[in-house]
Amino acid sequence: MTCKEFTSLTDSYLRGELPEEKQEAFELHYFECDGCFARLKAVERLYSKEVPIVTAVKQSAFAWSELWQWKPLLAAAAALLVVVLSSIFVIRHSGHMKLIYDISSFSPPVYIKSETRGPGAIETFAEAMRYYNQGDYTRALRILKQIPTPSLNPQVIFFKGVCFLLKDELKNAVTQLDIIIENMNAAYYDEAMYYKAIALLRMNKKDKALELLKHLTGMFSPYSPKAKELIEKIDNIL
Amino acid sequence: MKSNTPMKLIDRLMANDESAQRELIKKFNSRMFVYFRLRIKGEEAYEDLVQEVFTSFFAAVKKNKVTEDQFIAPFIFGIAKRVMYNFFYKKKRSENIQKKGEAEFEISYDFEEDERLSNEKMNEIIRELIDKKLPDVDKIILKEFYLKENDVGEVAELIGKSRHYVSVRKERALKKIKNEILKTKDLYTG
Repeated sequence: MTCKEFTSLTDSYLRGELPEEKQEAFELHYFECDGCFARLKAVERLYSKEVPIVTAVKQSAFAWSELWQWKPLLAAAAALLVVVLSSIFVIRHSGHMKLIYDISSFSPPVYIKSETRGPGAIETFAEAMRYYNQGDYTRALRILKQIPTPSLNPQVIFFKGVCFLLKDELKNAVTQLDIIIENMNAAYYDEAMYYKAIALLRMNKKDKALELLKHLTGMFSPYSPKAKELIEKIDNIL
Repeated sequence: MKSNTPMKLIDRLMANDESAQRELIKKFNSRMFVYFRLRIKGEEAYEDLVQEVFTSFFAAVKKNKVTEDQFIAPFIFGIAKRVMYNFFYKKKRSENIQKKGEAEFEISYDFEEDERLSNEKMNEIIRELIDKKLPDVDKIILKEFYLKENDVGEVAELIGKSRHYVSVRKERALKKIKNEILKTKDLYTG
């Protein structure tokens, strides 16, 4: 079997569609040929659902033409910005902290139950998330705290952090979100950074929050535009 | 510098150079995992089977049955095939796989760890390709699928597009990366 023939049969082999004779010739070829084996393995891994997809790219690589993908988000952001800007005159004389809370207001991240995500099957977590989705963060947090430490997974830690943030227990929120960030947990890394930045901002640590948000804008994440928007608000308003 | 051709490695092994055994295993280990993974879907006995292949191979090497470079890969493939058929035969008869020839040739090697490292290297290559070749929207879609295990509906909701759009983009993105892989000549990482 030639390398060219091998390449053309890769898909059929991975789908198990080759007749036995061809399959054996295919297998013998990759035992002998380093290059073809490497390509086969790469394709196998690509479809294996185990490849951690890249999470960071330079901001300059962001394709502005793709911004329309974020149309609903941008529309919401624009509306929010208008509200914030028009409110400036009203709240000019109110406290500095109120301003910070206003510009860093956010909708809690939605928890969507999925059988394949984290401890979705754990009854305790499911119960906590039921309260979370109802907006009862106190009860959600109380239940999340009951989950024993060894079984903690990033999803539990993340929502615990968000619950603390929503309850204004900022130090605790930062502690939980830091666990995600320090462990570089890819699934919640960017979200954890964003919410940590909000917590820091509300702790009056503007510089640290900005540093985190700037880092986030350089990442490839649905949270990058949000971070950019928040930076602008901070720069313009605070 | 030590040569990496299998026959040279065998010569070194026969001269009691233990590192040669590790190099030989490293060269074929990942092939064996891919072979068994694709042949025996859904089973978890890969490491035992890989060990069985190498045990037989090194026993044959010890008996001077392997003498030419060009026959080494087909020889190992032949053993792998036999081990695979044996596995199905024994499974059919509801028997457990017994390790063979352990006394003949002792192998101390973490086959699964080696495969894990090999997979990591490959993941790195795929990550680079995705980073370089795909537009951001496709990266977001793949990330949501792979990292967060969101389904089509969830990803569609996140990016504000239809399920069909997400589904088509995902398939196209994977196909694009697959084609990039297949036309890359220097993927082999040793």
